[in-house]
Amino acid sequence: MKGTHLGEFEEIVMLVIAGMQEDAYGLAIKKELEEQTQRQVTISAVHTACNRLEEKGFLKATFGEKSKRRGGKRKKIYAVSLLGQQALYKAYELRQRLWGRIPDSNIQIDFN
Amino acid sequence: MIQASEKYYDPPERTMRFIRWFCADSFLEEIEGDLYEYFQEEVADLGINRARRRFFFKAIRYAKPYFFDRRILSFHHYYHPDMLKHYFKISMRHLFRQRFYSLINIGGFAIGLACFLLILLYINHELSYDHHYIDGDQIYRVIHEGEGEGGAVVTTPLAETLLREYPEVIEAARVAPDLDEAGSNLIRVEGQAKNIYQDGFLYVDPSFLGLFKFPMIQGERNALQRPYTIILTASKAELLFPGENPLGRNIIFNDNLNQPFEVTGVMEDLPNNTHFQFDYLLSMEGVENAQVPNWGFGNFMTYVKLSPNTIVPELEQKMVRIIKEYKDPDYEEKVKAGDHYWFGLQAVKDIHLKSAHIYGYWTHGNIRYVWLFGIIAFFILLIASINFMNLSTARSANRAKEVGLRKVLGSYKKQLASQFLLESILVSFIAFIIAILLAWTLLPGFNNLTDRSLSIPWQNISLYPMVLGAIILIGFLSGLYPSLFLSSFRPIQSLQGAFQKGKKGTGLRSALVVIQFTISIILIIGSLVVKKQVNYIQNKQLGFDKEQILIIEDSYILNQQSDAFKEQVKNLKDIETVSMTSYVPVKGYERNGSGAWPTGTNPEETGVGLAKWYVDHDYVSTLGLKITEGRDFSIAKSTDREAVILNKKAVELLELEDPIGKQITSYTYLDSKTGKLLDATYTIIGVVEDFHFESFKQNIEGLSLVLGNWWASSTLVKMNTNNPQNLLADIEDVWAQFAPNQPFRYHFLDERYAKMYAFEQRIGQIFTAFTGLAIIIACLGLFALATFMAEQKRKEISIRKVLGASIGHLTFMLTKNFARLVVLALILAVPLAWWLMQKWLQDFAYRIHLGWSVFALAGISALAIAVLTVAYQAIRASIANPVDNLRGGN
Repeated sequence: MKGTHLGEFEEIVMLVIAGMQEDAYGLAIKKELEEQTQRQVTISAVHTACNRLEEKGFLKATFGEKSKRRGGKRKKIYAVSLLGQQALYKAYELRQRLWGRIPDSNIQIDFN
Repeated sequence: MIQASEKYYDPPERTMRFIRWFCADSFLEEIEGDLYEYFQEEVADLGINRARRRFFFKAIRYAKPYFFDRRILSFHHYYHPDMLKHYFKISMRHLFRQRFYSLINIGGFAIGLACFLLILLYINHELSYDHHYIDGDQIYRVIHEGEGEGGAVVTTPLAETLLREYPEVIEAARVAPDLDEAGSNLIRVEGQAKNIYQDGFLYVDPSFLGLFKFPMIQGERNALQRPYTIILTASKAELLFPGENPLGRNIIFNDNLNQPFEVTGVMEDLPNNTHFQFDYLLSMEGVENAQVPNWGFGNFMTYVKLSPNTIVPELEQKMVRIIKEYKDPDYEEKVKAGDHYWFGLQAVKDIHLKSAHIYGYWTHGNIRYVWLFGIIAFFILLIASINFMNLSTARSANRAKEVGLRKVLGSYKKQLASQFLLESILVSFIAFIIAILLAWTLLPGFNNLTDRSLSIPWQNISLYPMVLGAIILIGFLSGLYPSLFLSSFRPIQSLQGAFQKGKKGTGLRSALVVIQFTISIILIIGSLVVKKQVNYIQNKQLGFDKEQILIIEDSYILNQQSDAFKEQVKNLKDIETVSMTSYVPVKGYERNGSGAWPTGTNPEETGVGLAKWYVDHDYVSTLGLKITEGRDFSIAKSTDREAVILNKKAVELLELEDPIGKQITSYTYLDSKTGKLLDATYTIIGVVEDFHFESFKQNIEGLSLVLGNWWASSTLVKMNTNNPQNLLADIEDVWAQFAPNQPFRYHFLDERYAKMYAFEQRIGQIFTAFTGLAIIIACLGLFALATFMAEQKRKEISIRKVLGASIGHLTFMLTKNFARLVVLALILAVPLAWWLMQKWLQDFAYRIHLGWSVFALAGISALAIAVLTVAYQAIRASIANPVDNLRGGN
């Protein structure tokens, strides 16, 4: 798989992670996603996406402390890497450009 | 939010275990942690039961290829080519360093494998008989079956009757190995002078070739339509007509110039996996005896070809009608009276192996031997593998350090296990190569033993992948236990020198050794007994002299000159007597029997079956038979033409007291025109002592000797010379005078006699071979055990030595244990062997007595072998320097 191609879900996950103040770990990311996007997200989907992104190098992971609430396991906390930011920005750029090409006469909704 | 004294609930354990097993380690912590936390929240929100239910569905979504722990398959982690090279190198190094043990291990395994391969060849061959005919599934042999026994020969008209009456029978052919010129003859090509002796002549119906669709080299399959035609097999065609075209040429039989046989075809030689044994086919067309519609005689083997969808049992049922209609109108009553018989259909594929209970011509194999050999092969392989496993693990102390180090350096247990597995597959490979070479070398001997001509199918392409597969499979299975055992060593302990795995190993191994030795002892006993019995047979007094008697064959060719010939031979120096007859008391010569009864009585009541042999005046003296009452035949008395000499048993059977002078009547022959059995009356002039004229397996039966040596096929010459070769040459000269164009064929009576027990001799040889094998294997097992124990007891022995024990004492102590095992094996083996040998000896009406000397000999030799095997290890262990063993880190 070529590096910088981001799927829609992956892009959204990265954006959410970038915007989170508290520890961005699996469960928290899931909750934030559901809150922001208003749609159901399974924890396994989050894990899959995050680990894939980590393998591609777009996310960096560090481990937090153990807690009893997690059965003694540490949290895996994600952050967007430099490479990830670049990828996000590329996607953002692409969208901007495409939007810019649309003639005003085709746009019917009201930007506010 | 900090919650005081929070209670944590454990998510369902089984689901969690699945996750832990399935998922790769790198994901596990995150997944477990998040799921656990999630679970707590759900418990709080929905209660524990609903939370548990929902948990499963959440967790199951992790069963995706992405999360799968590929180390389970992990090809590319440790089956990396570099690692494989490394394992290979280490394995070879290990084998070389432990040359002695490696050799024993591989060698033993190879021997076991070689035997397995040979037996496999045999079984494969046996099972392949008669599988190659076109439409072979539709070909059957008609047999005569009764309660228990059966016969392969059936009545004359059966074939054509079946063909006529049943549409399912689409072809039929009869085969007569016994008619007229069937069997052996003196033949020559027309125009040549000298006769040669040939056998393998078979009379067949013209439809025979077409039924079996034998491949013809020359001529068509209808080549036997006319009478007095003959078909040659390819090698015989080459023999008689080298380089020429045999078609249309004539062959003279037994100097009969009036009726030659014309060659009308040449067929391919028979493959060696067919039950047929013939070299020449003679047409049965026009043979008188074959056309007589006599349902009383059974003389022909009948083969039929059925239409494709025939249901055999149904047809067999229908055939009962034939019996009732043609053969035996009283059939129904006979069945009720218990004399039940019927005609059965035997598939041609089954003939070779499943005819043990069917009395017929040609020797067959026996499915029992196939089973027996199959089981033996399996056990040999099993025991060889077990020995291999044993010995591989016996010296484990050596590898323990290696294992410990590897683990410290980061090997997974699975990696180590596969290393050892690879090693054992490698060893298996080497052993296989050796085994194949060994099998190839032993093949001639094996062929000798089994009376077959097997060969390794080098050119069969499918052989090689099969062998490779077998190597990997056997190597894998045999290596499974050792590899798991070796890879389970705890690194700390093994590097420190402590060695666990104590008592558990010994029990199983000891049991194995006992079993192996029991088998060996049984086989040793078996060998000794068989040898003894065969010797006994060879040397037993027969009641006639078998020494120094020459048998000149094919004497019938002398015709009118028989008497003159006899006289000339008698006049030679060192010849005592000469007799001409067809009946010789060893296997392979003419036999004849008929019912006999005291004259004037009712044969139905007083008739007994007696062997009836036609001999001449010199028979009794030539064979050295002892006359106990009355006298021998005398030329002077012309009334002796109607005289008979009985043996003691015959007199007993006929219940005659004072038999001399009394008369008996017995059947002579069947009049082919009237179909009636004729008989003749004889006066008893003498009684001879019973002598063995059949094999030792049978009791002596009643025998009657009468004069009549027309067409006598054998001349018995009693010699008394130290120089048989010269005498033989002289006799041959006389023969050449009388029969210049006939081959001089002869045998010695004692040789023929010995051949009768060729089968038993072969059994003896087979036994010896297996005994040798079993002993080798058992010794290997014992050796492995001894090695193991020596390892275990290293420290103990060293301590004892330090405390003052002598080498002798230590050796004795070590050997004592094993001696006990052998004694146990002995106790198990002896009763079993005794029982088995009794059963085998029962077959013989005349046998040796099973004395305890045989068992004692077996026991002592077993013990001696065991001690020798163990001695090496015991002495080595006792000699070892205690310092080496007791040093801390070793």
